[in-house]
This record gives sequence, C-alpha cells and structure tokens, in this order.
Amino acid sequence: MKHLTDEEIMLQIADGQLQLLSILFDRYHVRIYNYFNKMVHNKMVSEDLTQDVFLKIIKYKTSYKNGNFAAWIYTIARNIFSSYYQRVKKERSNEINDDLLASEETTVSESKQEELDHLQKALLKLKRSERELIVMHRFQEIKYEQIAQIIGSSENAVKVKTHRALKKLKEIYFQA
Amino acid sequence: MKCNHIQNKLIGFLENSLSEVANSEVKEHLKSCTNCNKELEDVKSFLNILDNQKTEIPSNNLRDNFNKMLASEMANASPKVIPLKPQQDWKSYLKVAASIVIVIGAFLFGKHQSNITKIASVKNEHKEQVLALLENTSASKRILAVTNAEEFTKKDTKIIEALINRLFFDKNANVRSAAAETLAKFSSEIIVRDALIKALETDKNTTVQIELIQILAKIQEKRAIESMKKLLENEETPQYVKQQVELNLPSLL
Repeated sequence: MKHLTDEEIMLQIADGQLQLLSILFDRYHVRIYNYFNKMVHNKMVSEDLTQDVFLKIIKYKTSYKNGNFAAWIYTIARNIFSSYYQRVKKERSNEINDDLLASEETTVSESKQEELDHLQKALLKLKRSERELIVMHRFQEIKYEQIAQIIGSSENAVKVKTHRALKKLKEIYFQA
Repeated sequence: MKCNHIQNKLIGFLENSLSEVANSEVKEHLKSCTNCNKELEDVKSFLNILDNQKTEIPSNNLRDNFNKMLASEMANASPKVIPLKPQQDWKSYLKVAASIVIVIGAFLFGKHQSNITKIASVKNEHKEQVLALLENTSASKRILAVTNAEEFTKKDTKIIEALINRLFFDKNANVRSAAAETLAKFSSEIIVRDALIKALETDKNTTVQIELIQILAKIQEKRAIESMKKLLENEETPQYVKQQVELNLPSLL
C-alpha cells in the first residue's frame, strides 16, 4: 500500500477504504499544518484546521475525480482557512484591520528564535492573498504551475504576484 | 528607472524562472551596476532566511485526534453498509413488485371500466335504435322494432310506452297486431293490460281484434269480458270475429 501514489490511494478511499486515509495523513499533515500555522500563526487553531481538512476529505471523498491530489487537498485547506478567516473577521470586525487578522497572535507566539518571530510578524502584515502565495511557494515548495491550479489562476500571474509579494515582505522585514 | 526594472526581476533571476532574454538582460546589467548587485545580495540573504524556516512539527494531539476521527468515521460507515444491503434489496424487490401490481391493476381496472361502459352504451344504443325504428316510415321496419322490443325488461317503461303508442296509433294493422303480441310478454304491467283492453274496444281491424281476443284470453284478463260481449252484440262485427270471441270467452268465465 505504501508505494501507491496519492491519487491511487485517494480513489480507493473514495471507494470506501477509509483506513487508507492514515497513509495520506502521514504524507500531508505536517505540510497542511505548516500552511495553516504560517497563515494564522496559532498552533492550536492550525491543528484544529488540519484535522478539519482530513474530515472534509472523508465527507467529500466521492467528489474526488482522479485529479492531482496535492492540488485537491490544498483546495480543501484554502476553503477551510477562508471560512475560518471569515468567521474570525466577523467576530471582531470592528477591532482590527481585515488583513492584519492574526497579527495580535504573534504576542502569544511561543517561538524562541527572534528571527523567526520577526519574519512571522512581517508575514502577518501582508495581505491574505500575498501571504498565501509566499507560504505555498516558499515554505511548502509548491510549483507555480500547481499553485495556479489550486487558486484558479495562470502560472505567469502567480509568478508575478509571488515575486511582488516577496519584494513587499522583504521591505517590511528590513524596515522594522 | 532601469535599475528599478532590473530589481523587479531579481527574485525570478535567483529562482531561475526568467525567460532567456530577461535573464541575459539582468546578467548584463549586473556586470556594471553596483547598486543592483547590492540589492541582489539583499534579496539573496532574505530568501535564505525564508528558506531556512524549519517546518514545524505539530503536537501529538493532531495525530491522536485524527485517529479518533478516522475510527469513528469508519464505525459510522461500516454498520451502515452491512445491515443496509439486504434491506435495500428487499425494498427494491418490493418496489418492483408494487409497480408491477400497479401497472396490471391499472390495466385491468381500465379494461373493466371500458367493458362496463361498453355494455351500457351498447344497451343504450340498442334501445335508442329500437325507439327510433318504432317511428320509422316503413311498416316492416316498425314490425322488426316491435319484435326486437321483446328483449327489453319489463321495467323499461319507455319501450312499453312506445309499444302501446304503436298499438293505438299505428296506421298499419300488422304493426298494431305485432305490438299487441309483444305487449303480451309484459302482461304483468297494469298499463299493458289496460292498453290491451282499450285497444280491443277501439280497434276496428279484424286481424288486430282477433289477436287481442286471443291475448286477453291467454293472460286471463277478466275485465275484457264486457268488451268481448259488446263485440258479440254488435251487428257490424264480422262472423269470424264473433266465432273467435265465442271460442275464447268461456276460458275467462
């Protein structure tokens, strides 16, 4: 079972072999967790959202149509993040700037490295869409082509936007 | 301006994702521009910081919760599959059977329904036909109708009335006697008996008179005795009619 591709495993899960999901969990949970943690910078929330992703995979297993599995799981993760973001935004709509949603949480960060802390702060000052591109491309090492597939854009547009976001992040990072 | 343009491409340059033309353009510029070389170093070190980010490892809670979730999802899924299957089959057979029953039932009901209306309409049609024939200008058609009228039950007063009508008012003696003959079959009806007696008093045709005398004797209608005696007393009554009366009168006395 271990040598099967993600896609082959997911098709069997869709067919009712739920226990195989633990293989995909092994392969993806760290990446998905890190995606969320970079986006919201909160370990507890990131764990919960990661758990949600795998629950959604079971719920929507029949809607998987043999496409690229990584793209599919990131699409689910993005949707979960999006609804989490909307929920939190509504809860404190008058208190904070939309795109600086998670910045307050940096104060409760348990990170010991100053550099990391500093980068995370800078990252949270970006817009959600900019932050996401950097997280996916730089931290998750997803190719531009696949990011385009996940967010429904063209490869070239993703490249240009990512470079722009990186430039902006660099400026914020060195400013402070 | 030129430098700004180049600096926008430095990330792509370091990533090796530029087109060949753009790549050589940046290379060429970097040979002569110290400012942009400094910027290149900045970008490089910044990307290094990013790339040195360690992936964080989530706590064990994540795996524990996942295992719990998966176990409960599997438990939810499996008992559903096993008992549901035979039940589903049984149900689907029942559904098929029910639909067959409905189709056949509807077919039979429809057939039955149309039979009833068919019979009723045939009967009705026939009655209308007979009633129409009774009014036909041809005497032979009227006789045919009168004899056909036998088929109807006593309760059908419309037919009986039409026959009595023929008995009194038909111009043709043969039709009148045929009507009398047919009416004899409905002799249990009081209006039929009354009509026959009345006809004996009024009809001047001897054939009809003889027919009526025979019928009244046969149905034992004692109220006809007086009319018969009148016929005997009447001088105009032909001899053979009187003979017929004399022949039948004793059975009524």
